[in-house]
Amino acid sequence: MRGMRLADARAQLPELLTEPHEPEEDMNSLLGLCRWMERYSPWVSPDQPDGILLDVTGVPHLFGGEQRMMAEIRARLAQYGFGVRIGQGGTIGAAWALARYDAKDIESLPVEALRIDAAAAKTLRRLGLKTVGSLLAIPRASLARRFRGETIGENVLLRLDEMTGARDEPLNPLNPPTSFMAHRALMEPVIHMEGLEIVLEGVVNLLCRDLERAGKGALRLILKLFRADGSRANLPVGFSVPTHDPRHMLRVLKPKLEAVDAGFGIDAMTLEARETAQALVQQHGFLEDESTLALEQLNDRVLNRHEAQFLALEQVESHIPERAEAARPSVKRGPAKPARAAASVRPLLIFEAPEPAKVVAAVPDGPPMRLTWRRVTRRVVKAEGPERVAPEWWRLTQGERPRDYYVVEDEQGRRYWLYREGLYGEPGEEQPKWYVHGLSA
Amino acid sequence: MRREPAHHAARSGETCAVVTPFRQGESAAPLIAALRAHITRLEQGHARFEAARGKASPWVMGLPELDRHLPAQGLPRAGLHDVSPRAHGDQPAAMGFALALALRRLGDAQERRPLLWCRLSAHEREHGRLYGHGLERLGLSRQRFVTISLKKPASLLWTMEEALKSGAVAAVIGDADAAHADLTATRRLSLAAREGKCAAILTLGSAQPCATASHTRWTAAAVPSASPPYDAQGLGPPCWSIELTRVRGGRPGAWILEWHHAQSRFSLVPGFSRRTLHPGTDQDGAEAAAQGPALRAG
Repeated sequence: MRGMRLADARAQLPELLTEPHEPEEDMNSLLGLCRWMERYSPWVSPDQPDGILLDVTGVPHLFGGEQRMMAEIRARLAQYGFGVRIGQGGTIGAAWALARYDAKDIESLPVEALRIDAAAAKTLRRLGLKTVGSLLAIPRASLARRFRGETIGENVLLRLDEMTGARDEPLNPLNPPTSFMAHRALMEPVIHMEGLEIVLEGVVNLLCRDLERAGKGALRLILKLFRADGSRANLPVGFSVPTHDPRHMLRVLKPKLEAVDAGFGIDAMTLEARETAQALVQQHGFLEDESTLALEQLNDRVLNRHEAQFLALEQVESHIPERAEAARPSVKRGPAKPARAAASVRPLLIFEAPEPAKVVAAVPDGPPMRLTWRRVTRRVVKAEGPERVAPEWWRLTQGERPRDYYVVEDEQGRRYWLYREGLYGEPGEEQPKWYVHGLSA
Repeated sequence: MRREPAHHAARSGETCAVVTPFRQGESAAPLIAALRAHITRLEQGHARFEAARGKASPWVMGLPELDRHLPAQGLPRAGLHDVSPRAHGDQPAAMGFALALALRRLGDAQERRPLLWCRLSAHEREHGRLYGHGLERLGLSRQRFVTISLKKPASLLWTMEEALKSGAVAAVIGDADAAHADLTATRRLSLAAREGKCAAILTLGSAQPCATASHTRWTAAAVPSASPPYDAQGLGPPCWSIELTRVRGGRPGAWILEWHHAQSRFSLVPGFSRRTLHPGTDQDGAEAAAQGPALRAG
């Protein structure tokens, strides 16, 4: 009984078996079942928490008719230990209801079958409207008028329309259909890497031929390996620029394939292009070399293997040193901006977070004489500065203080880029602090 | 018979500026001769271009005192080199010198490929990440530079190797620990560099002596720079004490170098004293010092 305490239930029935409720696990197994159901239709969607929706338009004749198809589904799922109820209808609403409630047609379905909440169903029942047929008998306009302004009423009308097909209800497939895919089924399961590579080459060539013919390139690919025991391995790969170059695809896919456990062997392979874009047909000039393309392809290989990509450091219009630069993926690099005159000293290396330091200066506002950073004290021999960097007031930077940057050189010639945050003698402010922000060569 | 070339010449006259329109009744022979000469000129130009492309200038340091120590008066254009800091705090100096080496390589007019700098995230936390404005101050344009940050030393070595093999970059600089850059790893990098006709420079985390398969090994340390004449407190151009500890087909040596980013060249520091010489080169250095002021150390 729903809502009963575990202790009460155990008191009534001591031999009760209990299992913790794990919605995520339920969802996972539902998704797994959905993927299995793709054998019947490519258009499958999980219906939480306990249903699966299939769009079988144009499918049943492949299984010898609707009745035989339903029987086959029931029989196969029963073999796996699932008890199922199957409903078939012209709309999602009708199919949903017929799978859950015993009825010959939709008129005799109870109002609960409308996918409305319990409160709404209760209200309808209190009004004497017990079946869908009794709702359909009422003229639509008067039904709308009676439930005007009430959320329940709107819900009932919406669901009713969805059941009768007066209103379209989209079915989002688990796997959106792909327009480019290549499939190859094998006579015997293959376990060896060499064999799989040959099959992979085959599907890659097929897919690339189709892509090239359409003038498209793949941005995202998914390689599906069907194992002999019915399980499946999915290997997604991404590309930074649309590509239909089979050599490049193979170089990205092969390392992924190596990591796959073939189990009892792989008997089919599908390569789908999940995302495609217009491929730029590039003609390389007489003088120009192909290094740009080679760099992009290299980037793909690194990205798919180590989840790191090539970054270009782009200049940003700001005076604050850490904001004056942004790292962007190098493939999305914009056109070259005119370089600003590098008037001031900037370090080779910059710390993500400036590191606190202790500094002794001859006069409070003067350049540092002695620097203690990372527990080592250094005597400063040369110093250049200060370079005042004021906070950017237009950014509403609360609590940011002006900085005075110095570049200093110690006795050994090592260079540090440090700044003093805050000014001396400002009323109501704490003492200035020193930070090391970077290191120069 | 005469109509045919006339039509042809008239058509090509529209697209090619060199060919003068051919008038009816005139002989085709001079025109054909002119066209042939033009084609020959084009072919010669292409051959010259190809020859220039094939014959790459060696990777020289631009200092005769230094280049004399290198095999064939310069470094091979494709190969592995490593730079280690003399002490822990000299890491920025070692990275600066590695960049200067790479810039000498990038400065070639035939070279259009960019520089790739592979960083380890642990090193970025320790020494800071690369700063584009600072790189520009050392003479590297943003447009010719990409960087990547990797978590594991093994993936860094893999990335370097793939980048070198692909030939997409002119030079690769990479952080490496002495522990990971062993003989096998560096041998692989060296072969990959030769395959892709790229230069590879490893900046080792410490001066730990471990065998590597590099063509040359350098150590770098910061030295106090010369102040500009008008400001005793001011900082001069970056100044490094460089030691060439191992070189295949050359002689080791030690120098103190200044880097001038605007011309992307090194200069030897005048008034170099013996006290910064290093134990291995002591005797050579004494001889060199006796020879004259121009040669600092031998």
